[in-house]
Amino acid sequence: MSDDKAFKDLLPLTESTYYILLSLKEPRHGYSIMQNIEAITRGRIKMGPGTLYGALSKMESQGIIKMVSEEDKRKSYQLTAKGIRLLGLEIKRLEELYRNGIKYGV
Amino acid sequence: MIKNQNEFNVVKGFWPWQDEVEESWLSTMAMEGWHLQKVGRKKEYHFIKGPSIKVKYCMDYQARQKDKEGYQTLFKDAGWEFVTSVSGWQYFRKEFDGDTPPEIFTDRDSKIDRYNRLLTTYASILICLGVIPITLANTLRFPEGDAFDFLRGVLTGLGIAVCLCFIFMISSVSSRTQNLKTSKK
Repeated sequence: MSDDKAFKDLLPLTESTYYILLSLKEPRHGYSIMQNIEAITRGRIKMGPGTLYGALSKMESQGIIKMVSEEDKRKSYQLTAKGIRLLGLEIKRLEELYRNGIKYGV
Repeated sequence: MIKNQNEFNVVKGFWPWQDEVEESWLSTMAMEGWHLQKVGRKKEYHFIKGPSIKVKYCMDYQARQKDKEGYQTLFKDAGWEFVTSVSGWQYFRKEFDGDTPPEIFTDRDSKIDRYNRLLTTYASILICLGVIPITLANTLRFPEGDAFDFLRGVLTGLGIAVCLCFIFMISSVSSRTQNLKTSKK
């Protein structure tokens, strides 16, 4: 129960956090995260390095991502079990928003 | 102010919540061919002469850096040149074409987080400094004090003045974050 509350405090995710989490289903370093986000949003989101660095530090301290390797001063991160769960809950929440949008809004 | 053909030094004060003013001043200097090399602790800006270029300056605030190289590598990968750092402020620049300058912070939350990191530093300084006038004021004997009491009185006054200055900065930075929170973007 207290676990669920911890997740509720983290939701809803900001757009930046959401896309970083999506990018980290597999290990990636910072620049690769930026490229991935730009690619999957078809150029809509060009995330700045200040935003990304701040978000990674914050997410690492929240225990939703972890560093998995370091090469040429580039740290690679990946989702933790907690991060996977959080992302799943957020996708469910977004799905509900979307379904209701289609049902009542269109 | 020292100015010759190739170098230019100037002392200029900006409040910490005027980062955008400072950034655009640095960009204007670059348009005139003056490129920032270093910023001293007392806000001495050192420029050297080069070609006139269109460049965006951005400032981050990172006081305690565990992984300086990794941090700078991330910015470098994204096309930003690390210029210098002073008292936790990190100066970056990037050349650009067109009308939209690039930014290192691309959402509101990360800008707010940066101000919050700054506030954490100010709050810890304030707590440390606050102890001085409180301690000194407790040792004051008035009105039968001697020369040492007078000195302690002056130091207490100075301590209070410095603390008030920090309180002013904290409230100004806080109101800047409040403005960001209520603004659309």
